[in-house]
Amino acid sequence: MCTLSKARDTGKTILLFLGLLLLVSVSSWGQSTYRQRDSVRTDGFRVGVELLWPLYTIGKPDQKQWEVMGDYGYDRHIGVLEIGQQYKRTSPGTDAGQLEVNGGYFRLGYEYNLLKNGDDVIFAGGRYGQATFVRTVSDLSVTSTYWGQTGRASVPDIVRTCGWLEAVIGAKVRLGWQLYLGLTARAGYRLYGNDFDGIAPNVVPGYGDALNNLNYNISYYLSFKIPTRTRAFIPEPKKGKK
Amino acid sequence: MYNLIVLKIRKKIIANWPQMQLFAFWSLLFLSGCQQEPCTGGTIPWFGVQVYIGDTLRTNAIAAIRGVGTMTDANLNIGSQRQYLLQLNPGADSCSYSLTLNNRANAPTINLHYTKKPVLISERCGFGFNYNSIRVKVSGVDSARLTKDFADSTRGTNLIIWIR
Repeated sequence: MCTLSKARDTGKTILLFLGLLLLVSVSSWGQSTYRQRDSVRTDGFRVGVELLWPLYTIGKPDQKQWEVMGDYGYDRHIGVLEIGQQYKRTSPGTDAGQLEVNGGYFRLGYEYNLLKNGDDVIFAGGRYGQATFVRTVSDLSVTSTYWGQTGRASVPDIVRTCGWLEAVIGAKVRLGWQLYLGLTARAGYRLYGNDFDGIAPNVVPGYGDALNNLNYNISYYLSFKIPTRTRAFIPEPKKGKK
Repeated sequence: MYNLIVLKIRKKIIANWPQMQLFAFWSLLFLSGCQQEPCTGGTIPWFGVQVYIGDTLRTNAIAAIRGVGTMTDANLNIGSQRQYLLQLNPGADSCSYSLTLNNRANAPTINLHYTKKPVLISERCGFGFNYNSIRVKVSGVDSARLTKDFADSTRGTNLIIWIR
């Protein structure tokens, strides 16, 4: 499966690499203040953007995607909303014909913080996702080399809604100044919306490969937290000591 | 106990955060490097014809197949059900094939009429047509029976002809 396939441009790959190196260095630097942060946790709203897709689609007129996220954390419970939009155009095969998908999506979900204290988050959780999109086929023609003839057809646009469930795991590490870097790994299982009248779209926005009922993906988020409450944790005395 | 496990996981992840990111990067490179399968035509719709000589299904009964109006013989493709696979003409609503039999004087002709429905075969293979409402007229055989009036990616046998 190749949900993130076609990143064959060397330039784009190098850009992606440099961006990730930057993230690595920044996050490593952020760890220096880790011990001081360990004894407090701030509840609050977090808003952010997905980093990978904008980097991946730079300079690609046939592909655009953006995604924003927001969450609210209360102690170890986090409610999450992710909203995005995706456009993709491809020319399958060697005959003429273009396939386009344009649509929006959201994912609504819950995360449970596996860490008892501190501002960093290592989470496991789930999402419900839904996408509504338009599939457009233009200039479709099929040529038979044997018959030496070409058949043409017009295909009406269709609007579809797909829904899926996701299991997610990931982490959100505080870099400093309430700024967080997050990594989410997701496995999505489609619940409904796989009838495409013979021509499956090249992607379901926010879900991935339209032909698969199970998709895997990775997202990077850069987010900012607006604290509403700070909790202090007093370390428990060690056993055996008075 | 639970807290201890979580603490250990946490320490591991924090300690290995840069490595995790590099792992994610290499995962991306791996994903971006994966290639799709070449288009072998495996799912392109064909019209399948089984040929019986007497009571026996034969795959060597036909010496040549030629589309009427073309200048060359078609390849003799044999399917998994021992059927000859014929490519329908996407540029028209009908086409005809004439068959040359081995050791037989008769030259059967198969006339096909159909409607076309566009489908995406795959990202690699591109678009194609499924053929529906197929009507068949066969001459030069003892009997013929249409068993399936559509041709799609499932392939199969559409027509059985009997020759004595």
